[in-house]
Amino acid sequence: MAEALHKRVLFTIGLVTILIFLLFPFYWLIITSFKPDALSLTYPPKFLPSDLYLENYNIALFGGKFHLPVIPNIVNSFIVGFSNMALVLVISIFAAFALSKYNFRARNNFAFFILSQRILPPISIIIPYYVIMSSLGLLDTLLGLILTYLLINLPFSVWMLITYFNDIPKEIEEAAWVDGCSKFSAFLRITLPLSIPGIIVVAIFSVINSYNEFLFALILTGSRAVTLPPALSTFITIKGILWGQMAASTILGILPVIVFAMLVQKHLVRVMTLGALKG
Amino acid sequence: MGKRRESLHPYIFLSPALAVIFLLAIYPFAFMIYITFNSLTATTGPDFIGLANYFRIPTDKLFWDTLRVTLIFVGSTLAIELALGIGLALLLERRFKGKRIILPIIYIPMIITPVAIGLTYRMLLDAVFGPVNYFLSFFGVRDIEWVASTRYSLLSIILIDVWQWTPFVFLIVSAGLQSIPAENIEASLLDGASYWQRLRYITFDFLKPYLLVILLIRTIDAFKFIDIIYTVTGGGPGTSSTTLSFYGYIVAFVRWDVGYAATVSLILFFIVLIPSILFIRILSRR
Repeated sequence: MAEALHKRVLFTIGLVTILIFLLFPFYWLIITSFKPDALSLTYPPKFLPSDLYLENYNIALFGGKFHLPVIPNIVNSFIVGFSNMALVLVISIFAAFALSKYNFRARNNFAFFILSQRILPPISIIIPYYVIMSSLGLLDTLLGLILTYLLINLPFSVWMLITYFNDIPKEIEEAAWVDGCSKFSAFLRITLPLSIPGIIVVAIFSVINSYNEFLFALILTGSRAVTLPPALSTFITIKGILWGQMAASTILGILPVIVFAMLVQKHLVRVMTLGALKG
Repeated sequence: MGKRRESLHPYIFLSPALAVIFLLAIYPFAFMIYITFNSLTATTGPDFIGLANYFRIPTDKLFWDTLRVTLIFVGSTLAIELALGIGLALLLERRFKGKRIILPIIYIPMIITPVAIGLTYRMLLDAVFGPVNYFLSFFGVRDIEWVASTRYSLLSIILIDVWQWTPFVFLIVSAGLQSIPAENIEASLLDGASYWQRLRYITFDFLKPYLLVILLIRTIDAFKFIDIIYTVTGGGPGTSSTTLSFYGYIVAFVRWDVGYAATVSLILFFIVLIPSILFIRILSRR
């Protein structure tokens, strides 16, 4: 018994340490967002807020002397994320249907070809994107980003959907063929509705991917179409960082991702490995 | 319905996806290869200069410096994240109170916007007012210039990456541990195997494919890594925390030496390709 207790105490200490390491950055972010900048620049640092100072949030929401509000950027991120997601789903549902339900010679080659885009470092392709987008007049437009993020989300979505479609037992679909359904209408009537939970996971995650993307957004936007990440990054280029406003804006910015993440949390293994592992 | 017509169906359904990939990946990629043969700046070009951009690589000290930084970054983050992630997964494998609440918390960092993480760590690591140096002062470590010294800037970047991605390794390894059939563990217990023997001969064997997936994904992503460098150190001081990806960015969009940047980026692509193909080969052989 004594040994068990001793082990349990050690285990608990270990667990608490891990949680502190994980959560302290968030705690610091929150605390800083409620401090006037004068209190962020003290030594020793203040670990508890003295009173509830909301001015930073006021500035993050409505803008201040030194910085624009971050809300329009969050709205941009949402527009880009959701429009891109709709496009991605339509295109990838068809592609995943073909790759999951047909047996054709080059099937695996096509699947791997689509996946191979995931290897490409964004910097290795962003230069031509900049040139092409500027010649199409799509620089600094939401449409430019919506199209660009197809490159990121399409391979992901196709691979995820293949595994979800493969999960539906063949027998159920084959029963529908016997009833005279074509392959495609059997898919539309049976496999697709049964795959809706998986499709929702893919949808949410492709929104997260777009929402978090930085490099393309930084290069391809300038003022009107700036999404959240490049907008946040401008805080550090200002002389003398505005800690409080930066923290408040960052918190507003990551709240949506945390909500999305909570929704897909049970599916993370599958999502993070593009369906390679099911968890 | 003729058989021949039916055999065309999968291609019809695939065509929109293939068209997108052609327009958004293949064509730009080909275009970039074309740019590497040109001199292109913000104001001039493209002027065809043959292989001149490629000939600049061997004598470009910054290219080799940043390649070295990249390899250190990729190697050390992979090693630390694997060690910590596997350790954590083994530690938290057992049942305990509150597990269902704690696990989702552990997963949060890998989903959070990297730029936001970078900004948060800028505050945490501030040399004067940051809490990290304050805590370290209790242990007699004082005034570390985390982001502003050549000695610590790369370490800062590595530590932040470890904070963000160890949970990923933990997540995948945990899934791997759950996939081990109870019979195998029971059998090993009956045989009187010690914990370490079981770990080595049974657990590790089942974990192999999971570890390969981790290696593949983390290697690809570590080479892409830019957001946190941009927000925390800006690649500096000097090039002490500039990876090849970030170097490509600087050459292209700060120096506007676009033709050469394309060349550097293309080489980066081939550097990522080698381990990726290797891991995919091993994975698909299984």
